[in-house]
Amino acid sequence: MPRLLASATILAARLTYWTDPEETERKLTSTQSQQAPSSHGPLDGVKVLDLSEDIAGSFCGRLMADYGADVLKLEPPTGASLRRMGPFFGDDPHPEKSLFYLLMNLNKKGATLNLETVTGRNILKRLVPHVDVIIESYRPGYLADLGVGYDDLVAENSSLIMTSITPFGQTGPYSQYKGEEVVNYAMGLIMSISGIQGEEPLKHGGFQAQYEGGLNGAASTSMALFMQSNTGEGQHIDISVTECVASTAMATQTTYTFMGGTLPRRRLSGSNFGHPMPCKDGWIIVQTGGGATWDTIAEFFGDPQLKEPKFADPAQRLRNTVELDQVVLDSIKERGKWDLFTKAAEARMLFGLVQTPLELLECPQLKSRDFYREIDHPVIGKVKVPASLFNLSLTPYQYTRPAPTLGQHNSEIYVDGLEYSREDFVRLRQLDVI
Amino acid sequence: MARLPLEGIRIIDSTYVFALPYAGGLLADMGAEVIKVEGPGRPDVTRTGGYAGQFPENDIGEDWWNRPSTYNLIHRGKQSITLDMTDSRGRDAFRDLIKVSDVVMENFTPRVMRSWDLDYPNMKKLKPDIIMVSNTGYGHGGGPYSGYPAQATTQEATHGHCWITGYKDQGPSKAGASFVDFLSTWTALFAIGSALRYRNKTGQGQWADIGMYQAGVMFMSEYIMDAQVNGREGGRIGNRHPYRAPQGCYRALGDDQWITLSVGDDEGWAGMCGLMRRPELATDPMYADLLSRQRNHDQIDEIITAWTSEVDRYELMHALQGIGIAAGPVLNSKDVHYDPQFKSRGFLERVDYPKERDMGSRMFIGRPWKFSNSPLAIQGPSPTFGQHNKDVLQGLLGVDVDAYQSLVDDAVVATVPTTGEATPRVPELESLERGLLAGWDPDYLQKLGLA
Repeated sequence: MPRLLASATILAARLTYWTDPEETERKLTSTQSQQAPSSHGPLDGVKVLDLSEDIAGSFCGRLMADYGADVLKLEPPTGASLRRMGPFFGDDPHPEKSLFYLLMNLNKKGATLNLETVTGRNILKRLVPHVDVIIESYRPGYLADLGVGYDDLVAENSSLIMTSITPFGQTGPYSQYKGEEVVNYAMGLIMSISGIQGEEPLKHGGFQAQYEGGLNGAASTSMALFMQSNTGEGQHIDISVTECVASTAMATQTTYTFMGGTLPRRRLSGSNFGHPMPCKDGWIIVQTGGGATWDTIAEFFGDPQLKEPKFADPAQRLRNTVELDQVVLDSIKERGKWDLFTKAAEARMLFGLVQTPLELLECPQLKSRDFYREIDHPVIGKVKVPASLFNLSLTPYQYTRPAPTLGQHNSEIYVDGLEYSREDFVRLRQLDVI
Repeated sequence: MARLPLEGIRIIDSTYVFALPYAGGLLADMGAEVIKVEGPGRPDVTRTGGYAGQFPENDIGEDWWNRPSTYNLIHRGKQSITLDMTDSRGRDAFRDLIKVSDVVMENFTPRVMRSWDLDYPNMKKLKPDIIMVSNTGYGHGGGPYSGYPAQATTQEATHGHCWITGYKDQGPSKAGASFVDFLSTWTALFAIGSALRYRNKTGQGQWADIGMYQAGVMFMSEYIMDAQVNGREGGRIGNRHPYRAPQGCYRALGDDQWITLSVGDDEGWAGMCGLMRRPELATDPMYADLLSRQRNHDQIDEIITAWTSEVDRYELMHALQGIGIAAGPVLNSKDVHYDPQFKSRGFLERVDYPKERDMGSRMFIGRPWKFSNSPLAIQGPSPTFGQHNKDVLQGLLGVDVDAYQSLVDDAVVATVPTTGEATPRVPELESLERGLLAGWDPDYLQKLGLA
């Protein structure tokens, strides 16, 4: 062990590209027009290897990079599969123009490494002593079969944290099964309560399960890092994306263990309260509770019927819900969503309107929170990206660099860092290792 | 056995409803000492059994405020104290508690914490390295919506998710329940883990200011990019996939039983045609390649439904997964208790209540991650209202016996909420008839082995 540590220390001294923040900063400012960080994030000094090719693992790595970790994306020489996923800039399916890849790999450096070769795996093992965290989302057992599973890698670094994010987790009868967003949502209980009764159960739009897996990856890894900073111990973290989705069904799950019930989807008519309702130029949504009394809500919609006893309390409103919906829908038919939104806030009502992606892009609230940042990508050019998940007073979100182009930092990692000669560096490329 | 990650960390959980209280429960699973603080006249809203809460055996019971399902899942493993923050002695005790804590979580409106001199600058004076986590609908700061009331149900529209959720070519819809609350839950964990590590390295605390709206919008990122650079506004495609085909949710054998599946390549489609005993479809130009399957998705859905509606949903999953196609049944609140994968992983954990609680034993969702070196688990049942008043005030904060008694006498602390009432129950059979329940299983306690 001491020998290993000693050689690790020597190598660490050579890996200045990665281990020395000042060096990193110097290179950043000299080679990029991007703004260098003026302070560090809460994960400053944490080194992460991100082996993931999908949304969930990549989002996990990105969140860690956003809050100060040095994250190196290691992808196959053909590029992570996310590079082939749209939307693409200008609808041009070019490997550097995937907007999904861009979003999920902001603030990371990138190199290529072919783990299907012995040489590639040996290189991975040389990197492991210098990192705190490895993120991966391959089929459970894939890395172990190649001889680079958690047990193999922890032998190189006893405090290593490996965060594995997969559809069903590392264990159990479905661990080898394939997941897709719709499947995670179905098995994660959410579809059973979403959509209309009699119609098919409905998933959320987009890739919420994948994002949820990524956020849970960052959350659990941060806890493991805190423990590592106390005890020096690592962990293998096993995250199931389906279980992430199911965790959002906690009111649903407990209905059974408390009283034997299963919850339905929504009825076709008579349950619009708490669901989007059409108004003149879009949709709004309203909920009782918060600071507004029913009288206030009734006055907001303006129809005197709402003050009648048949709508006076929650039980009555539930009983007469079809009629209630009609009164409310009629009263908003000719009113605009933004006017309703502002007036509802004045009345202290729980109220929302259905915003479109373009409206979100222009949102003054998000502007006040500094949510978007303008970036300059070498192929895509200047675009605004959703940036900070939350605000932090002392070590806030930092934008440092766009997503890496394929193999962008190979030379830094392999020649400057691991000290391969230029000749060997070329050989590694020709042997399809990098 | 290795330690839990948060052993020795004390967290004040002065938060309400779902988002941060749930984070508090998960922090307790990880070994933190979590102290839930409520006002005697301001009990957590989940204590009423509203917000989709249920009572044991549908019976409100005597101490209804300790019995709802959501309250019990969220507050597992915590301590509970009550402090009247409108009384200066209540605020003083809260300040003393901050001095001996590592993290404070709160979800009051920005105005309330300032009025109590408990905003971050003031908290920092009490405990220089305190980590404060605030969760509000729209986040603090000078933005136009910062003071707007908000809850997850209405925010799902405002942060854009309803725009992209819904049946194909129909109006916007919601999915799940209180979705964005859980994004705040996990964001808070990420903020706390990172800030604790930073405090270890530097000795400095800080303030994490979470806005649920902002977290929700983050999960819309690719739609915002597509709108910005390609002028495409997204929209609703039901259960379909933007590229893969076929993908959807199909009727399976039995009442309200469903199977989801997703085919990403031509080999998968050919294999599925074999399972359906329709091998000719693998080479039919209508369906043979991915692009034609996208174009003729409606017809494919009919063909698939003709097959799946005659077959058990689990049988369909195993058959499809057996040839490498992503597939799985729609599981409901009952199914999750019996599914082999969830059971094998111990996703639901059993909590046994002391006899005097009259709550029996219940199964609760644990957490979606396992640590190889730390035995994460629910550490115990939820506390009763103010159960730890004496332990915390006298034991931890050193309030003397007489002073404590006057706090009790003046209702600055309490063990029974002074406001609120239980949300009335509807009998099970009436709920079924009115469509408030999809199903009811009278033998659930026996089947779960909890009787």
